[in-house]
Amino acid sequence: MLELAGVSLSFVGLTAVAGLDLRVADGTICSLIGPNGAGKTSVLNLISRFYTPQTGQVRFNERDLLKLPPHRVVEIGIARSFQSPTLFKNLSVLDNLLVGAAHLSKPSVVEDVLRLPRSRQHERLARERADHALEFLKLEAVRDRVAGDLPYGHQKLVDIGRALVADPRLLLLDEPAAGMEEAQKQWLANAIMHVPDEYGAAVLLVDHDMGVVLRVSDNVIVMNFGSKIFEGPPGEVRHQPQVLAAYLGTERGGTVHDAQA
Amino acid sequence: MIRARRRGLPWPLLAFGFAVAFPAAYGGNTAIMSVATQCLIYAVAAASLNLLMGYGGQVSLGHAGFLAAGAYTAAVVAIHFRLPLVPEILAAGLVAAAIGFVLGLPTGRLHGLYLVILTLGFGVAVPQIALNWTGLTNGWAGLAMPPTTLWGLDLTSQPTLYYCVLAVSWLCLLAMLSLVATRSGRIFMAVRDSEAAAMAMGVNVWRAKVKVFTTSAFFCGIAGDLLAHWTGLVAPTSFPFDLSLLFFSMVIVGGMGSIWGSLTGAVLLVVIADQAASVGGLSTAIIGGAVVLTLLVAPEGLASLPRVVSWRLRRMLEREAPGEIGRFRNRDQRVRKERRA
Repeated sequence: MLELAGVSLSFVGLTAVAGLDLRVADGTICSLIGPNGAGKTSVLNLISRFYTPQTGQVRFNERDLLKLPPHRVVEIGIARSFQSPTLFKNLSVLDNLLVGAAHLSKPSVVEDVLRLPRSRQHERLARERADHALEFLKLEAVRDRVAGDLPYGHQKLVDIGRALVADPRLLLLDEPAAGMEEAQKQWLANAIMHVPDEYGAAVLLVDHDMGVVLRVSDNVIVMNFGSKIFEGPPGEVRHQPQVLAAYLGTERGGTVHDAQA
Repeated sequence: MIRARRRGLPWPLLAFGFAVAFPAAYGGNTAIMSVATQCLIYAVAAASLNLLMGYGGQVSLGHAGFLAAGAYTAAVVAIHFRLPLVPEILAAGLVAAAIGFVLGLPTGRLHGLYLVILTLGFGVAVPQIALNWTGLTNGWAGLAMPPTTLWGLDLTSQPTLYYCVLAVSWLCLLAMLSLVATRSGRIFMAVRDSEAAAMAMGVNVWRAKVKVFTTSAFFCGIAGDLLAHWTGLVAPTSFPFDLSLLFFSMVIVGGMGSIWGSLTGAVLLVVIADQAASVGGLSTAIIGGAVVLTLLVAPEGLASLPRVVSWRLRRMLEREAPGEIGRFRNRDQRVRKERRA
């Protein structure tokens, strides 16, 4: 479904991504891990078209993503959450989620002012999807709270919820578990695992938390210095010497789990 | 800034009832009716500016320019085409909207102070254009509005004009309220709060900004049409830069991101300006003082006043009945006293 081939991205004097190949299959959960500065977030920003790579191809369902402006990416089925929750901070949680549905139908300003059928239809659909996301992420209790006033963990969930409301075929999650408590992390991991069934979307997950990554992923890609150093099922990742080297700086025994602790 | 929706007293309904009943008390007093009409017209202009500033996150220091565009369109249309009132109002709105659209085009690149300068220049330029485009505007002498009738009613007579303005202005306020509660309005606010997130959710940020400029100008143009009927004469001197500043103050005093706040701010400042006019040269200073005073009491504008007052009240009540912290403090003092003894 999503396919990156030979993608390179460099900023002035700094290579963020170097000849990366990456595939995410329909309905699967793929994780991208690696030490800080490995280029994981850059990959997500490439896919959501905030960055344009110098070389390589990014295709989604046989469409060339690089020909699209950033605001068209969600229309073809890719929605994302942000590393630090980037919400509409003065809007309620519900309104934040409703914006997620903005691209699903587009009534004009006049239709919205007069509440013509297309406007009412959009509101109905958006509400339905938002209610579903509120339930899925257990956010009903904070539905009418101002998003900017919420605790960090809840803001991250609203960020994910907004992306789910957009009805994506591929959901990009940038460190969703960062800054969460252990219990909340476990619960979130569980929710992420249900995204493919519940929403029919594949997931590309970037995270540091090995517990979450190993539990939810069908496929794990390890990056270091902008390149892929390993790809395989989660069971094999923790025993790979090159992965351990990347995380610890030297080769030695133990597992990635130890490295995280 | 707009906060999550709250429920409370149906203030808009009460205000509307008050406005409808108003002429029963003061209908005979032409001066008071004139000020009341002015309040409603300026409320539409202030609310339209609030749509741009409070909801759209843009700035304009030239909204009097849109007002002028609407007023001149009204006069030209009424004089040359003798259109009925409703098409005339729409024409005034659409001409202003067209100008708003063009002015909104550079917003993709222009932010903050640069946008202030652009709109400022626009606001200052419009009266100059009106002054020099004599073929259309009749120069400094201005255009006199011909007597207009609506369904046989004479619009130059005071209570009739007031009710007509009340109907149109209330429709405009409700339209803006409807807008900000639907997808279009949410997109404006989304762009205001985070352009990156809005973009990721499929919003064309630049188009949203142009749209909010166009919509704001449309409603301000309608206010201009009403203004033309109210003054009876449209001249370049009717749209000074001060007027743009006055609308700006109304938005701030009323509260950014609150349509009803703009109505409140407009009523307050129009009434103060009217009262202060008799003091002579001091009127501007008095308005400025009123703005500062309001912001000291309610920094987020009058719209936030109920929230602030209820918060203060709750805190006062809590002081009467101290919670955990108060009790502990008492106990600590007691313990200390005992130790000393």
